[in-house]
Amino acid sequence: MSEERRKILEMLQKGKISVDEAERLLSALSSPEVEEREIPSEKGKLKYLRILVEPGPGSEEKERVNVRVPLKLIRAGLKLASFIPKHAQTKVNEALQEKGIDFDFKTVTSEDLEDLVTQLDDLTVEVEGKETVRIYCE
Amino acid sequence: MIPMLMKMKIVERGRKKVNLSFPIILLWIAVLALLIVLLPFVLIAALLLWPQGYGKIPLAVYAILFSLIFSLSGLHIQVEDKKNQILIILK
Repeated sequence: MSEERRKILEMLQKGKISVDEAERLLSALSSPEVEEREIPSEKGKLKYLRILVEPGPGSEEKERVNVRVPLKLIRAGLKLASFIPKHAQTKVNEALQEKGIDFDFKTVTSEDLEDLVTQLDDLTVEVEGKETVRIYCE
Repeated sequence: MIPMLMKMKIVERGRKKVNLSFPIILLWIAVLALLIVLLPFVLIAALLLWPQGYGKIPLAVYAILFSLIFSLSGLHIQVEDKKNQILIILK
């Protein structure tokens, strides 16, 4: 059984997701598109999160951002963030809710954070407009 | 791997303000000395906070500080526009 399938089943067992959601996730995992992508995956070998902002085609702006952050640094930072006192976490929650993000910082465990960083391996964001933004792991 | 060298370049209005290659290992020696000096205080804080159940926090934060330093290697930050540029590389 693959690690992803095991995780989905564990989440179902713990009641974090419904049966329907688990079924959808399992069927998405078994789709040929995902299987094709898994073969060349370099999961675990990726070391950096790259954020690139470049002027879009035809744009006159010359602003560029090129940031490469080691994933280890993100892990260490998140571990440090888990020691934020509870009263400060409440303030963070309030600030997020003001921005329309309904997220409870207190419910995030260190295991969740570890999962989050592990899944960053698969992250690719590309936005094109006046500026081209690319976020990916390498 | 701990970063050994820091390259910093700052260009402001087309003129180079800073162009520095700094052996950051020298800074880590000072930081290490500071962390060793701080260790007894961290241990005292851990002992004092232990009855309240927060004793592990100073020890964990102390360990994570080391982890942060060792994770900095490979950090690359480059921001530029028409005239200004900031480049920081740790390797």
